[in-house]
Amino acid sequence: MLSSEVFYNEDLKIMSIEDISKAMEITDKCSNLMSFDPKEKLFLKLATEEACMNAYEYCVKHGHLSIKVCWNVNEDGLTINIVHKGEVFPIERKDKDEVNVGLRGRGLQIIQNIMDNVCVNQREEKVCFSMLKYKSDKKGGNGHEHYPKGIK
Amino acid sequence: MSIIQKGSNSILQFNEDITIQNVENFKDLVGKLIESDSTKLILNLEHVSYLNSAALGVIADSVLSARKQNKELVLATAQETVIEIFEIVKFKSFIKIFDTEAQAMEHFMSEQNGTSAF
Repeated sequence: MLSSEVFYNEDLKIMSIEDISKAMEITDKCSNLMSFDPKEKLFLKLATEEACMNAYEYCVKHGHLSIKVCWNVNEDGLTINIVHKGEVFPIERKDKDEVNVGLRGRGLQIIQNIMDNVCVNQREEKVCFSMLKYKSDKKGGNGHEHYPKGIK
Repeated sequence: MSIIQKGSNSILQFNEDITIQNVENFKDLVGKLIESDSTKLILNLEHVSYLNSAALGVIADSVLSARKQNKELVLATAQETVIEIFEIVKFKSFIKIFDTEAQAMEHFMSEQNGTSAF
């Protein structure tokens, strides 16, 4: 998604709920590097929490905790990749106009509204959920796909 | 944070941003609000600027639970970020949201008098 050289990156393994809070703090740190405004920073933390929580719940349900979160910052924007053992899942909402009145199921909708680009890729036994937020002056991107770092 | 009575309204003013760290506490308190004796319930989020999807689920479920008990749960918030989150999940289509607690109380008063705008 981003072809510019990375000037900051960081990784974190998620082993507990407390680690998700750490992930939100790292996103905040990266947001500061990008000079996102306070509202964008808040929403980026929210997207991080939602994505990490989805991965965490998936992994706990399947009996393994192998989540790695990777942040890449460059002049175009911020990419956050969440990688773990698992399979790709659909990210296209089938019932976009329906209102969800249930207890669960809003995380992905929130992420897709906050981030500029969201995709899911599979490599061997691992799935990578990737989300990108462009800097305000870089909206539109360059259309280049890149395989997210972190998948080994 | 606790539930207080103002006239015939039961009000929960939650004063912290709602994340994974405190969403269970939020859920417990909202549950107590729903179970209070009043039929006019206000969840005051005026001091909340962040809430996660689990909190949204608690709110949605609580609004519907209240209705099943012939109660009405409404929200009070004017925080831009929270309003925007509510718009993403289309909460306004089934939950009444007011800018302030006072406006929410006015709504219940008007309903009682048969003059509510809703």
